[in-house]
Formats: sequence, structure tokens, C-alpha cells
Amino acid sequence: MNLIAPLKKAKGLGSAKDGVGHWWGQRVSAVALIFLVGWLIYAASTLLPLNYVTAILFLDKPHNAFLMILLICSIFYHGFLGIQVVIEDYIHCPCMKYGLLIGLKLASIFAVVATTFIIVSIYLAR
Amino acid sequence: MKKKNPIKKTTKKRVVAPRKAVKTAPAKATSVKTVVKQKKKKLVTKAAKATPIKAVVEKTKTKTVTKAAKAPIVKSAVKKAKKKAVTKPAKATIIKTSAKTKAMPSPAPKEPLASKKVDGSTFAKTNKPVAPLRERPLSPHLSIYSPQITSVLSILHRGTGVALYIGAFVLAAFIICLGYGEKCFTTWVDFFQMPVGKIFLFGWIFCLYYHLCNGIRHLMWDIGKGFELANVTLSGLIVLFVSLTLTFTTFFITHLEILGQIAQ
Repeated sequence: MNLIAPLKKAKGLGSAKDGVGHWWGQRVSAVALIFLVGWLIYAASTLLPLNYVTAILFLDKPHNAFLMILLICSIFYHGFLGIQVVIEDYIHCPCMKYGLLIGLKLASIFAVVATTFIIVSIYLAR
Repeated sequence: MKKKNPIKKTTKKRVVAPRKAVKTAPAKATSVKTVVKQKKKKLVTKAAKATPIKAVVEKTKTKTVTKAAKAPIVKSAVKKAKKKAVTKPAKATIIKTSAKTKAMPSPAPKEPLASKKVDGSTFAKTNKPVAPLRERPLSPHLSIYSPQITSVLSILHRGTGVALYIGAFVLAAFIICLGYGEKCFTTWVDFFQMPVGKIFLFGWIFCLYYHLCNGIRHLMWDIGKGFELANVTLSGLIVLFVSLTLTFTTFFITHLEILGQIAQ
């Protein structure tokens, strides 16, 4: 005998029974970001007179290049997970909510791919 | 030391009414006459609103229930109904048999029509639209709680996270511009040299340091350490202090020349 109300099933109410992956991804990327942001601060301090030449010379070194790629990936992964929670908390209008979620996800992927491509191309064209 | 009550407004003492003795249901009238009288009243009120034809039908109903009616048709019909079984009514006696079943004593007196509650069963019967529910009240939250270190740091963690995400797109654009040549990159660098850019940079760097320190605090909680209130407030203060000092140190180091000029 099923006691669940049909309207509950139709509306999709109740627990999602999913989200532990989200929680773990957030924490693991946070730990990674502690180290990567520490490296960024150190790297930015060595890069103080910032102009085009110094930036290119900085990215010519392989360790700088891939740490920068890792940093960008971690920032957008961690950031999107956080923003997803914030949007789901505060925005309830469906078109706005889903529009923002999908749009920001695509924008994050775009930013990650574009930045990775640029860094790799700068390194390969040294 | 007495701790400050975070709730601002003083709530009035709730006066709870003493519990009344549970009333038993009133004795129900089981005799046919009283039931019939109630039915009569109902039918009379109905008849007052109804059309004349209906009123005649209602009146005949009541008459058959109480005594032998004056009209001959009714008398024969009643006799017929008495002779035959109750479950087998003739076509001419439809009204009368329904009156007969109405005359049967019901177990409980029904509620008057005026105070009928709108529920599923009545909706199906009456087919009237249900009245919309009034706006439900919500208990106050932001208006009554004064800001505390725990709540302020928590919302600041969320706010800085959102700001960092927006700033991350600027950082990504900054790196992407490197691939587009010197001109593109130098415009970005010039933007950050301007006061607007410097304010943006200062804000983003504070968000970064604050979110980093508070994030470590969150990870400590995830491990299970530092949940006592004293530890929470202490760690919160440490986070604020460390993030502010780091921000100002960063800006101090990057603007040494400007500070040197001001000193002179």
C-alpha cells in the first residue's frame, strides 16, 4: 500500500536524495585552492612591475603555466558550485533560476577552456 | 558576565487560558417527530426561496410524513407504499418514497447549511469555486535579531564568494587578453592603475583573503573542531583580523612608491 500523495510525486516535492558529490567537490577544491591561491599571491608579488613582456615571460615557464591552468579550473569549479547553491536559495522564479544556472555553467566552461587554450598557446609559442 | 540577548524586541507574556472541561456532545433527538420537525423547518426555509412548483412538492412531502394527506392521490400513494416493500417504489410515488426515506430517523442531526465548511466532498457536490486562502503570516527573522559575529561572518562568506566568482571572470579576461596582443593587455593594466580599478582590485583582494581564512574555519568545522561558542567567536575574530591585515599588507607592498611620495 503506497501512502505517498500523487501530487507530491507530480510536483517533485521532498528530498532530492543527491548532493554529497557536490559537498565533497566543494571541500576538495577548497583545499586545492588554499595552495593555489597561496602560490598566486607569491607569483603576483614576483610579477610586480606588470606589463605585457613580464607576463609573457612568466607564462613561458611550464610550472607557472600549468599552475595557472589548475588555478583557473579550481576557481571556476569551486565558484560555480557555490553560486549554484546561492541561486537555488534566493531565486525562485523558474525562468530566472534555470536561466542563470545554465548560463553561468556555460560561461564558466567558456572561461576555463579559453584561458587554458591561451596559456597553452603562449607556452607553445615561446 | 551576562550575555546580551540577541532578540531585540521584548515579547509580551503569553496569557494561557485555563483548560476548560471537555464538553460532551449534546443528547441527540432520536424520535421521529423531532427529526421530522427539523426537516420541516429546513424544507420550509427552502420552500421560501424556491419556485411555487417546488414549494408545492415540498409541502406534499411534509404532509405525507406527518398525517394522511387531504389530496386523494397522496393517500393512495401512501397506501401503495405501505403495501409494497420499501425498496420497490412505483413511478408515481417517487416523491413520496423519497419523503419516506427522509422520514427515517438519521443517526445525527446535520449542521445547518450556513456554517458548512468547504472541503473535497462538498466541492464535488456543490461544484462551487473554493475561496482563496488568506496570506499566511511568517515569523520575523531579520527584523528582530541584532547582528552577531557568527551571522555576519557567515553571510560575508557567502557575499565574498559571489564577488570572487564575478571577479574570476575579470581575471580570466585578463589572461585571455594576453593572447590578443600587447595593446589589449596594456588597456587592462591601465584600467587597474586607475582609481576605479584600484578600488575593484582592493575589494577583490579583501574578498579573496577573507574567503580563504573563513574557508579554513569552515574546513575546521567539517573536521569537527571548534564548535564551542567561545571558539567560534575567537576564530571569527582571528579570521577578520588576519584578512584585513593581509589586505592592507598587500596594498602597502604594491604601493610603496606612492606611500614614499606621500611621506615626503
